[in-house]
Amino acid sequence: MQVLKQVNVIYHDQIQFRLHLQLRALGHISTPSQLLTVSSAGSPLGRRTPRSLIPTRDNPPPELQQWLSQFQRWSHAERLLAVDRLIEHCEPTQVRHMMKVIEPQFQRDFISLLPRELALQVLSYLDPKDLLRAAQTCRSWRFLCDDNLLWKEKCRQAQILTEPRTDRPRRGRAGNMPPIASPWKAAYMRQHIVK
Amino acid sequence: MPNIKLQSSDSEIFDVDVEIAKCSVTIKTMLEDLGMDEDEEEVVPLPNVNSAILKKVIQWATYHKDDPPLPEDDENKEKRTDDISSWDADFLKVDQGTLFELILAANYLDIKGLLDVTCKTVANMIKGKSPEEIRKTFNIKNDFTAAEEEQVRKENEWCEEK
Repeated sequence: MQVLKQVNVIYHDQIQFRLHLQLRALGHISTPSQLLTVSSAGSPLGRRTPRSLIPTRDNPPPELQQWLSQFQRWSHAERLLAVDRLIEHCEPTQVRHMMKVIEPQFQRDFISLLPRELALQVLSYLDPKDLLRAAQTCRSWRFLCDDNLLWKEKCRQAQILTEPRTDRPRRGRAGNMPPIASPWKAAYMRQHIVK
Repeated sequence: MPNIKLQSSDSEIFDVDVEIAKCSVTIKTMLEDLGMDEDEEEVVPLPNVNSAILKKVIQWATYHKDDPPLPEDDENKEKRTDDISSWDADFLKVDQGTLFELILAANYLDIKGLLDVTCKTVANMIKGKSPEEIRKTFNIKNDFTAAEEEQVRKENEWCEEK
């Protein structure tokens, strides 16, 4: 109980408190003395303010490296077991945090990462309205969504067969980016204004 | 039916019916060019496809082996994305990383049916979404400055919505 009280003083932050209970459960903090060294470890001022104990990448709990090293020494099967057990010990909010970290690893920015001709094949399935929205997501999408052949196709489907003018439209030039590069897109947009 | 052996980039060997393997134009051409004898125990190396993806590709090709040949793309017809069969839709319920690799594999192996349906699936993930929703879906960083964002918003404004 004595130990827990001390922990409470140092880690008034609930999450950190739980983290250390977990580390203890996993056998990485075993003695009260180890716990006490946490409070003064690496601090030039001797005693840290409780706020500075919020763990970050630059300021990890001292046992973290040891914990990770142990993990790295394990075989694949042992790691899977450890991960399973770790998840069992997590609160729902921590599992949710894991999901937030993991999810982007399974996301792919198809349009930016695929070879150009494949990205254009994907975009060729979009109708003009979707292309206009897709062009607003980021620079590389804008570049591909303004592809002239893509818009030539859209013009043909919409029966806009007039040769586009070679002058470029001057709509909304605000940043230092060139305006729409596709004459066929410009023709499509103009036609739409006329309608 | 004679079989051939396909070897993935991570050296796994797959024993596949020749007719199924030939839905890949790349493999079909290879077999013809090399004049491979179907009795021989030759292995076709596929250094651009790993075993997990090759397994999926073979699964797709096996299901579609009796499909009639695809009609030529009609240039004047609007391309549809709502014609994905329920089997394909189910087959493509995978994470984005797998879908991405399937597109690359279908392109490398030159399997038009698989390339079409995977590209349509990605297009369907874009359709009907706002720019911000698209960014969220694919984890895209908005790299426009505020002024540029205003510019692209203006140049892509759909007049009907005013």
